[in-house]
Amino acid sequence: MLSTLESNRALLIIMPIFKTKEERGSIWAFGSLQIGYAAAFGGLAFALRALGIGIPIAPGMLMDARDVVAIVGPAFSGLAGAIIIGILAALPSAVFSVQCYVPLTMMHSLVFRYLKWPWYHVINSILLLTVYPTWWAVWYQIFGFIPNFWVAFASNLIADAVYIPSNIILIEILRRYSPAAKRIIG
Amino acid sequence: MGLRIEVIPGESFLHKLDARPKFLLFLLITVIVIYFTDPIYVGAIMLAVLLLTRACNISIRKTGVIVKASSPLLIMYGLINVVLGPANTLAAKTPSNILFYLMPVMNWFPVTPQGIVQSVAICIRYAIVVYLLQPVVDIVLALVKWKFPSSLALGTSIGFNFVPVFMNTAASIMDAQACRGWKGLKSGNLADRVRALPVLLVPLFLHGIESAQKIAVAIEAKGFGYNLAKRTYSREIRLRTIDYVTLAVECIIFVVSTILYYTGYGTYMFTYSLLSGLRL
Repeated sequence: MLSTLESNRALLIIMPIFKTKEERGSIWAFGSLQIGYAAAFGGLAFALRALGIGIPIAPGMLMDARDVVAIVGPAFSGLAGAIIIGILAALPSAVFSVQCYVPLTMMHSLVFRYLKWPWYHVINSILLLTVYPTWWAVWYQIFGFIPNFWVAFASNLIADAVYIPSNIILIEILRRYSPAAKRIIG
Repeated sequence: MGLRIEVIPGESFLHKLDARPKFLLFLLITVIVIYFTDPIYVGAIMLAVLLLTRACNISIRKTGVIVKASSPLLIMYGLINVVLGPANTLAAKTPSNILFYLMPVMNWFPVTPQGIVQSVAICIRYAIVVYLLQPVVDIVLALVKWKFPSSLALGTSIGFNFVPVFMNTAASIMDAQACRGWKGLKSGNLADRVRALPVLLVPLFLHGIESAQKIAVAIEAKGFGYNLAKRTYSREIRLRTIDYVTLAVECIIFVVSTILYYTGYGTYMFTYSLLSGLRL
């Protein structure tokens, strides 16, 4: 019978956390394929916002589908491409969103770059529950739209009820049915 | 309802400006609107934005549709600011300032005139920020001129050009899935809606992956990678006298607004003292 430590070690061997250097490639690699992914997913995020596609969770509150693209898209485009996806996802809702989206898309890109399946789901979910609402709440404070930090934090936290399951479902379907997606995301 | 985001061509002064002063004007308005919390100051900025729109011979009714679409959020922000805004929180410490309570039985959520004044300013600020959704395709050229990496600028410009393609694809996929019994994102409880989202996003992502591979082949075929920094453009942008004058005016506005902000002008107290004077 394996001890807890041994079984944990066995689990780590079966499911390694970090990608190898060969799997990761260069952090600033930005070839034609990465440009293609960045343009395609950036354009998709822009289009989803422009069409007003999202999940209404309360009167006046719409959970943008573009945020799902802004989280999953950087997995394909790499770090530099994440900047493009962030800019394109942000522009349909005014220039003030650019500085909100770009660091978040870069953060998710790094998660997908360094972590293997299923660990990127774990870390992405943790980041969506902590960094994402904090970052938005800070900018809501600066612009004064929601003056109380915790109210702004909570209103963004509600969005995670949609984003976390949507991301996991979407990535798992893509990994299962698209060999290209599985090869890139890992 | 989809939001209408498109380039409205014209021959006005603003249309003829170089992309760089236009981009800076865009940023300038966003920055100075944060400086002020007074409805009159923020209202003046809103008026200036509307006058600029009129000067471009663009219908305010047509461009204002985006503000109309965001009105529920605008009302929500207004209400939150009436109750939780710093002006209201500070003023509510003096009982004589309290006009009424939102929950009178328990004396919860006091509302003060200061809170209302600041809330109006925040609502106008939000309307300005939302209204400033002007086309940004030329900005890509401006970014290249500002030594923004060419490959990033290329990716951004291709992304912009792909927006109409994805809008059509998204609409087609929604119609196709609706034919298969998909109830859309607005029916059922939250769990049903979350489950409904991948039904739309998976085909869109697969289309995105396919498009990305086609884009990669296309740009490789057009010589991507060969001395990208020295590539030429069919349309070159150059700063002219009018652009330099606009940049100078923008700098003056920025400096004056910054001085006003740091000397304490533009706070909600300006309108509040005017209203108090009228009441007396």
